[in-house]
Amino acid sequence: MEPFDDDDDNFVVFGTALEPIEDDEVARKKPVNIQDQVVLDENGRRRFHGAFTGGFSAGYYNTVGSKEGWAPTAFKSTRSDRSSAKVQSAQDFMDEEDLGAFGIAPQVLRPTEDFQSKRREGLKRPRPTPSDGPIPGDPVLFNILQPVKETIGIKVLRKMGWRPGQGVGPKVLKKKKKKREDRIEDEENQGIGDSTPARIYGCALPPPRSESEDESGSDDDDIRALLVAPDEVTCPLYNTKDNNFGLGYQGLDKNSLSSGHVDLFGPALKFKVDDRKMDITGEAFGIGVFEEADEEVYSREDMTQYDFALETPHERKRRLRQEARDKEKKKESDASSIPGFMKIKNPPKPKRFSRPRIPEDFVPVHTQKKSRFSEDKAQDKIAEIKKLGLDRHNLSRQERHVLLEDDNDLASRHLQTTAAFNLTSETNKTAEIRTAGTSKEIAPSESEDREKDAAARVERLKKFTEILQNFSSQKPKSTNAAFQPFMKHPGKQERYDSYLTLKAAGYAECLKDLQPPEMTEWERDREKLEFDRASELYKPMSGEMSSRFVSAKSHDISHMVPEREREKEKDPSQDPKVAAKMNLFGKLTHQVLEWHPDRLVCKRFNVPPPYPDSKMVGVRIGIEDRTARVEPELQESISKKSLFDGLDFSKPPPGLVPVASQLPPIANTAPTSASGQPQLEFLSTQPATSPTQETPSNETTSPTKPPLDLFKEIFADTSESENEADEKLPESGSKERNIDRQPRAEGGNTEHSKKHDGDKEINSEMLHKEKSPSNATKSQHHEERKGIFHNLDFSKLASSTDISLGSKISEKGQKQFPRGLPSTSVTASSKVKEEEEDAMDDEPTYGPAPPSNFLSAKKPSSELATSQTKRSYNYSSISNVGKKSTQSLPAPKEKEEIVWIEKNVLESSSSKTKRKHSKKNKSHHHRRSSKSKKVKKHKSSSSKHKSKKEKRRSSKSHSNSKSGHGDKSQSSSSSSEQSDTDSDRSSSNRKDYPSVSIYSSDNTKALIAKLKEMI
Amino acid sequence: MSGDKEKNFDCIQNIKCNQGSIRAVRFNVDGDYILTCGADRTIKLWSWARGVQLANYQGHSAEVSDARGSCDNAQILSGSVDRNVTLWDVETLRISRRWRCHNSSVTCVQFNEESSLAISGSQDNSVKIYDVRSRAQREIQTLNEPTDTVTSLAVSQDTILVGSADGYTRSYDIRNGKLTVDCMGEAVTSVAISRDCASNLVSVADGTCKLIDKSTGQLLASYRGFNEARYYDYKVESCFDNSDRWVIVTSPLGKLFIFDLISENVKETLDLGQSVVSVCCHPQADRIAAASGSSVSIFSSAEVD
Repeated sequence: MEPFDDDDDNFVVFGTALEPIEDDEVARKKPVNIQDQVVLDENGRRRFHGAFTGGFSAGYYNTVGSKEGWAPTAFKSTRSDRSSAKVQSAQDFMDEEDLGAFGIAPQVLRPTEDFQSKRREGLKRPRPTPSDGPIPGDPVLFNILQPVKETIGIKVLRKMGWRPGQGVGPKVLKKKKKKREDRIEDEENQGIGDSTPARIYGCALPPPRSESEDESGSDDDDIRALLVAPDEVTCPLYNTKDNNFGLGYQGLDKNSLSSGHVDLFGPALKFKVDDRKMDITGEAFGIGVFEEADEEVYSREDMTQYDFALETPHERKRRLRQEARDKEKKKESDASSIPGFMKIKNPPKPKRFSRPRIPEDFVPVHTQKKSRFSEDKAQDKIAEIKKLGLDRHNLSRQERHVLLEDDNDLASRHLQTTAAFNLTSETNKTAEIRTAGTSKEIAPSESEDREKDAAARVERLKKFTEILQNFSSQKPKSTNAAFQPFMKHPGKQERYDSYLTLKAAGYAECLKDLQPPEMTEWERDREKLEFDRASELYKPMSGEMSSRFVSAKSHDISHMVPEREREKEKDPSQDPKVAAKMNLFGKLTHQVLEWHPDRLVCKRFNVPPPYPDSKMVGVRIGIEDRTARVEPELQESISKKSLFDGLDFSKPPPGLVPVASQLPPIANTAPTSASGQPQLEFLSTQPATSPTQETPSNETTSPTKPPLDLFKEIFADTSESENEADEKLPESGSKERNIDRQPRAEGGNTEHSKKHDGDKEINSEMLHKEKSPSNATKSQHHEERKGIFHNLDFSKLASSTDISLGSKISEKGQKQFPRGLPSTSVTASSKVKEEEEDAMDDEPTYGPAPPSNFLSAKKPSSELATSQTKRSYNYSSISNVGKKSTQSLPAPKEKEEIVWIEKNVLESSSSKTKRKHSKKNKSHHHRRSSKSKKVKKHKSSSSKHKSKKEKRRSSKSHSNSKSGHGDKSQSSSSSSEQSDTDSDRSSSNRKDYPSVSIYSSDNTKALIAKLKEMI
Repeated sequence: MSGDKEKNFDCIQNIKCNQGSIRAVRFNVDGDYILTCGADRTIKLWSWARGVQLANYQGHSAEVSDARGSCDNAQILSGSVDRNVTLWDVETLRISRRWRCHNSSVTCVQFNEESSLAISGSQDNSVKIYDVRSRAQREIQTLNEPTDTVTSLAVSQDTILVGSADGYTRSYDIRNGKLTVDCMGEAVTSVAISRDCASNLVSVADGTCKLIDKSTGQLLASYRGFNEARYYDYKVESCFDNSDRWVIVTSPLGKLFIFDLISENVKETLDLGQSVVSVCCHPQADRIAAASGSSVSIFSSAEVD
């Protein structure tokens, strides 16, 4: 519709007006051919393109206004105006015509799918769905708003004469129908019989109207004989009860709650049982089947609501009814429990679907076949790779661990030894078999020398197996079971394994005897070559790694730990709780771990951070400091040397009276002495006890004299480091309390008898000071030291006071002497005094020109080294100096964890010293060997020191270079470990890592002999 | 106070605190005042000599389990069952800090020596260290090694000693960065550090109080006040006296035992009637404050008074 000019207001125009034909234009004769007709859109653009002009042409022509097609939308920040941020939709990219009536997204008002009569179309007949609404059957509105379209079925039915409202089926006699109607009516009037299957809740549907109803009154037989369409019968619908709620109960629905009104008390289910109405009310609350609804009393104000007698008629009625019902109930109680309900006869079974049967040959893992012709090539390949031992990447964790395992790892060692044993036994077996085989094969008539050969070989094999056994028990070979390059040929692999063992033992040539006799010489040579190559190729990683790294754990005695732990697990008495309950406090219940305090905590406690480089906070897991937990053997040996017990100045002396009082006075005083110089007199009378050491050390004079305390501190340290050589140094005052250590103090003193000959002057004042330590002063003292110590630059100190080092070293040297040195002339107490004096009097020895006797006694190490160049022991002693600062800082011990430290670092740190070259070569050895040495030591060191030392000498003869360190490590004191690990850790901090060589074993032996004579 | 002279402790003051059961009683730094923590969620400051209440600190929402005064007497640190660790301003009675870091009731609190750190132990098996000087809401370090309730804390110059119901004492040596773990067999109910810092006094839930060498973990002495095994589970608080000569141990049987540190003998038994919950020793004089029931008793050696 289009408004025209004013004068045409009265007309309504439909359609589009034709273009007016202009006068001068001649009308076209021919209409446009259909193929030339083009559909244009309102913009005059061609609408269809392409094949049969039906296709779309996207882009410039139609939908997008630019030649380039879709222009990407420019980014527009919505930061400032968030509200205007909009979500893009498909419509944004459409033109108007797309949105138009003929477009792809028409914006026209049209009925929703429900009303498009699609529902009726698709299905044959609508399946009646039970409605939850008040009216049963199909929703009323739905029926009212019938779709316009009718299904073909209904169309057909209509054609066949069916009308809506009628039933489908053959026509029935009106009479019959009437009867049926009556019956239904009767039933409805009666109420719902128990047996009635078609029970309808709520109001019943009106009975279908039939034409005959009007005539029903006429009672005409003719009419009754008419055939009429049957009634439309709606099938009753039941909802299967699928919950365990009471009848009619519906849980509160979320939706109904949110929608507003919830009728909690309205009846949910109403029905009639014998002329009494039953209703089940309430959604959440209400009255159940068994109860009866109360009378409405308050809704109606009525006099009838009030009682005028004791028993109102109403009550009476009720009572009677109740009684009657009770009676009935009793009757019925057997049959059915609830009035109005009956037991279901065929309970609907929930549908169950059995599981699909899985075919027998089904493999749940999908394997891809390359082609259908290659059956299981991939698997074959994997197996092959495994056989070849090339699947390094598929190794399990355990296997990898074995590969990477360190030589010193006890657990793996254990594993290896067992493996080696197996191997040897196997070789034994094979040897036997082989010999048997050969003896069988070779005919007896052949030749006697052949037999002889065989016999000889058997002999040899026996020897080898012995060797192998010995060797494997001694030092397990480091081959591993995981790498078996000749898996394919078990015999070969076996040979290879034994070859490795033999090679390690130095009997590589013996492979020939292991090889089967039927092999030719060439084959044997080839095999040997192969083995050689394989052994190089398949070297376990530890070899590779160890050339580049030093295992930090090799420094300590932590390899003892797992054993102990295992013991603990086995032995309940090792359990700390059990021990504590048995009042066995001490090493079992004591445990020291590395703990990193927060930096701020340190600051607030006015304490320098103990681990300045560490960034972690908390307990380092797996790192246990064993310093406090002394090995039993160690403890024994410790208790033998009470002399050094107190050398640790930084430790607070026992502040408690009782313990101290239990001790002889020396116990308290002795510990304060520094660096065992107890027997000056004695030493001076024995200047020749150590002839090999009689060379003056290369003393570099210290430019500035540090305060006395400082030296004491240093000496305390050195003494500790010395102690390492002997035994673990008890770091605490508590050890002083060990009375049984007292006698050993003397023994220990003797050991150090020759150390400081030069320190003869006795500073009585100092002595006095030191000798009268009250608890308070002592602890005070200790604290002061701590403080001083923290300001100390150890590296500087160490470099400036070489002399102290020298003295230290000389002491160490002394330590190699037997313990039982004569100490006849000096009593224990006096010794102690002297010690103290010496401790205080170290000072003079630091002067530029030390006294001659001092020099002679000190046996400067450097000269020693030069004189004994060949068998020089390396010592790394000064690293201990720093450690002392933090009151016997226990070094963390790696129990299981392997910490690799770049060897170069270690070397560089150690290279500062003069004996750089030797150190370099051996520092690594130290580290690695010390451990194994320590084990032995601990076991042997329990009682006899003297013999032990000699023993050690001999046992260690193959590794002279390590014995020096071994001495040290033997002590296995906390400090030794500390020093090692400390030095490893902070090697960059403390550059000095001096190594000093001392005498050879021969010399010490001579010395020992001499000393023995003297005794 | 010469050591040889036999002295007896007499009750010189008995304060009815009116704050429900007393959970803890603490002397302040110089011993002039005492702090009492009550089950009625308050902390009270008393001048014990006069028996006068000076202040009442309210702000906890559950009973207060422990409190400490700072070294400058300006602040009070308290821990409560409401999981809060609270720092109070003594004068203004206001809360100056409140740390809600624990997941369970706070059982014990401590200042460090300079009162620059607050340390709290809790039933959530952890000890937390807070910086008093910053306004941080969170702790600066958590010591979560204990595997059961932290029952007690003791702080020395550079050591934090933690007693836990898991039967271990843990000594965190800040100077050396070491954690020393000592197994006590049974739950630890109280810990104290001797004045020379060489030994720890540990109350164990087997009815004894043990003196443990700090460095070696060896048992130096064991004090037993009562033998009734059914009282073993009760909390026993123990402390050294000001001169480390005696060990004072509470008992759930209403007695306060004073042991000779050396001989392990009971020097004296003070009867308080009700079970003794908390004990604290005067930092300088021979005075003991013991809390039992809802009152606090101050004992003093006869010689001093």
